Formats: sequence, structure tokens, C-alpha cells
Amino acid sequence: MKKWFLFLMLLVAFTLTKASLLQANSDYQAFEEVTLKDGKFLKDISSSDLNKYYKKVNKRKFYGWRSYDIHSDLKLSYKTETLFSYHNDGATPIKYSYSMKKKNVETRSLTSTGDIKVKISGKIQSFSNNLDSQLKLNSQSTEKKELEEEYKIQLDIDPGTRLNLYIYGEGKITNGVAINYIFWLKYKKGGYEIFTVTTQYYRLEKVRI
Amino acid sequence: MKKLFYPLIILFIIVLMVINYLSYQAPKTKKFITQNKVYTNLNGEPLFVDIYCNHKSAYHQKEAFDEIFLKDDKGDNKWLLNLDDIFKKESYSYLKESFNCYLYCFTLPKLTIDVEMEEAYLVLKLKNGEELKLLIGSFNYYYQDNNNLNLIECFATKKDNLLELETVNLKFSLEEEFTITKLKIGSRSFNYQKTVSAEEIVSLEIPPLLKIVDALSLKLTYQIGTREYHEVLPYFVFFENFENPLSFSILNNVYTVN
Repeated sequence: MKKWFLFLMLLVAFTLTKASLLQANSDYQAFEEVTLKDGKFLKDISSSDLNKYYKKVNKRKFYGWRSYDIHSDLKLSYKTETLFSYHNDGATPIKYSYSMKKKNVETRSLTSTGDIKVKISGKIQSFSNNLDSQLKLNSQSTEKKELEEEYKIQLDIDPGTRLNLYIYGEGKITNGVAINYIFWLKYKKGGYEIFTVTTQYYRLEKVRI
Repeated sequence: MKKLFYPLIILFIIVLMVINYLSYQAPKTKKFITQNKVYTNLNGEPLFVDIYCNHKSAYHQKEAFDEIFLKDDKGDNKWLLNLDDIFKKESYSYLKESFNCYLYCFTLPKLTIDVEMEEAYLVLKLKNGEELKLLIGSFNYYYQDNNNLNLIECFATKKDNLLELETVNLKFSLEEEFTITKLKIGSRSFNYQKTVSAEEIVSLEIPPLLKIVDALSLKLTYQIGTREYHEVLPYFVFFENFENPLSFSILNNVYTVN
């Protein structure tokens, strides 16, 4: 009976500690250009380095997460998209009036590897199994609702030129590893990454076609 | 049973006292926060003002207002505004309190003169007689019917840990060189001697203003030969901040009301 019980416990422990390191699927990969001044993205950290960091959260606990920040608030810059591009192929200058509405921007983007999952409820992202509390992430919506603010930009576009308005910005990256324990057993383990937009810039330029 | 009666009564009273103590909450002081910002308005375009509050009151209902005006404390300017709408935006934490941001959208009358308020106060008068006077920064109204300079590139950099411009970078399409001698940001003017050539980006460094300077119309003074000209550039959003704006406490004007 004792052997059966021991075998069952081992089986449960093995099932709970299974670790699958998946490639991070980060939203900011969709940006045209991302430049990290220092450090590494979670997806660029090798498995051997990750295993080294897992040792920092290896101390078992009765219940809950242990986490370790590999990089904290790394500065990065990015270029996202061209808001508009307007051509004047004609022979005379044209007056162009553009209504610039401030966009809804999700200021925080989460990615994960391994057993940690990112939940999406509406437009709000959060980590599964309450990892947010361990990482002290604000649970409220991070979406900027600024569609009410509308500005008019009035410019002359000369013949044979194109008017572009594009966005670039700055943000911060924090990434690390975490293990979730239940009754001192490893239940889930994986990597997390939090990207936060801090500033977004607008650049206007007229170029010759 | 009789022996237990008095201890139980005492225990019951103690529990009631504890519940009463825990349920007591100190009365919350009602606060409004505005931030010093450089507001510029070109040809009567809408004006947007953010006001942060730790409570909900009649000041958040469009119908409750009797009149709203902009007033310059140093001058005689008083400008009646038309409130179009109020939108509730995000909430932010400031000194362990939560503040909701409300966006007030105003329509301005279209004038054919320039107006300047170095210290602009937004005066909110309710129909019940209550009144609030909030400092919002500086305000400039510019009237311009056409542009002489052909701006072809425009972007800025931001100062670290402040919500204001570090540099403004401009490029013009031009037939002859000119020299930028002055740049006006709100009520402050800065002197330069920057010669602008064709297809060249000119970078103007902006000294600290300790105000939000993120979206505005810049007023340039330039010289061609010995003649001096003025030009108001189109309104442009140079950058948007996505961090907690109230954490830049140097900008905050905190008002408490009864």
C-alpha cells in the first residue's frame, strides 16, 4: 500500500513539474523596428541561461509563486507604423487637413514562456494563476482611452511630394522567471516579460515622390 | 449558565466596539488636481483640459454648469468657454489616493487677434452657486490665416523625467535662407541665431519650463536680410506620455474643497 502511495505521489509530482519552454510570442515583434539599448528579450535568453535563473526561484514554498527579475525596466525604443501617407501627383499644391485622433494604445503588453500563460479578458492582459500579484502588476486596464481628443493638422502639399506622419516611441522591458508551488511541489514554471510604453512621438515629413 | 451571561455580554460589547472601530473611515477630503501646461490654440480649434479628482461631484456633469471661463490673473482677459463634453479617462495613484482623470472639451470663439494669458485660470461656476478656480498653466490664442513658411519635417525629443520638449527639429522647403531669431512657447520667448538652409534640419534646444509641453503651436520669429517676420506653425502633437502624469508632482496644483 505504501509503495502504491509513493508511486502515485511521484507520478503527481512528475506531472506537476513538467516544463515546456516555448518560444516567446511577443506583441512588440509586430513593430517595424525595436532597439534594446541593453540586456536581452526573453526570447533571446538561451535555455541554459534560463535554467541558471530558475535556480534563483528553486526554494520550495507551501503555496504561491517565487519570481526573479532577470532584467528590470530596460529602456527600449521602437518605431511602429505610418499613421498616414498622402501623395500629391498633381501639378498644383494642395491644402491638406488631417484630423489627428489620439489612438487607443494598449500601454502594456505581456508575453510568457513555459507553463505561464497570458490571459486576455477584453483588452486587458494578465498572467495566469495570479502571477500579476507576485510581480505587483496593476490589474486595472492599461488602455489609454483618448479617442475624444481630436486635432486638425493643416499643411500644404507641394506637387510631386508625399506627406507622411509616423509614430515612434520609448518603453521599458522587465523579464524574468517564476515557479508556482502547491504543497511545496512545483506546479508551473516559465518565463515572463512585461513591455510598457512610456512615451510615443509623432514625426511629420514631406518627401519628394 | 448565569456565570456565562456577563462574560458573554462583555465579549459581545467588545466585538461590537471592534466592528465599529474597523468600519469607521475618516472623512475623505475632496481634491482636484490640475497640471501646469502650455496651452496654445490656433484659430478657435477645440481646447482639451485634463482635471484629476478623487471623488465624483456635480463638476463632472455637463448640465450642472452655469458658466465656465478662462481668466488671466495678471491681466483683464476673461474668456467664456463653451463646454462640449466631459469624458472620464484613466485613474492614477497619487500620494496613496486614487484620482480619476476627466477630460473637459471646450469650443473657443474664433477671434482675429492673438490673446495671451501667462497664468491662465479655469473658472468653473455651477448652477448651485459653487465655484472653482483652477490654475491650468499658460494659454495663447493665435490667429493665422495663412502660412508663409513651407514646413516639410517636424519632430521633437523629450526631456528625461519631465513632460516637456528637449529639442524641436524643423525642416523647411525654401527658396532663400533665413535666420530664426526667436521661438515662442506659450508666454516664454527664447532667442536663437539659427540659419536655415534648404533641405537641412534645424534643431532648437528648449530650456526647462516646468510645464507640460507636448502638443502646441510654435511661434517663430525669423529674418530675411534685415526684415523680420512672424510665423505660427501648425498645431502639432509632438509626443504623448503614457506614464502616471501625477507622478511628475512638480506640475501638480492640488485643490481641496469642502
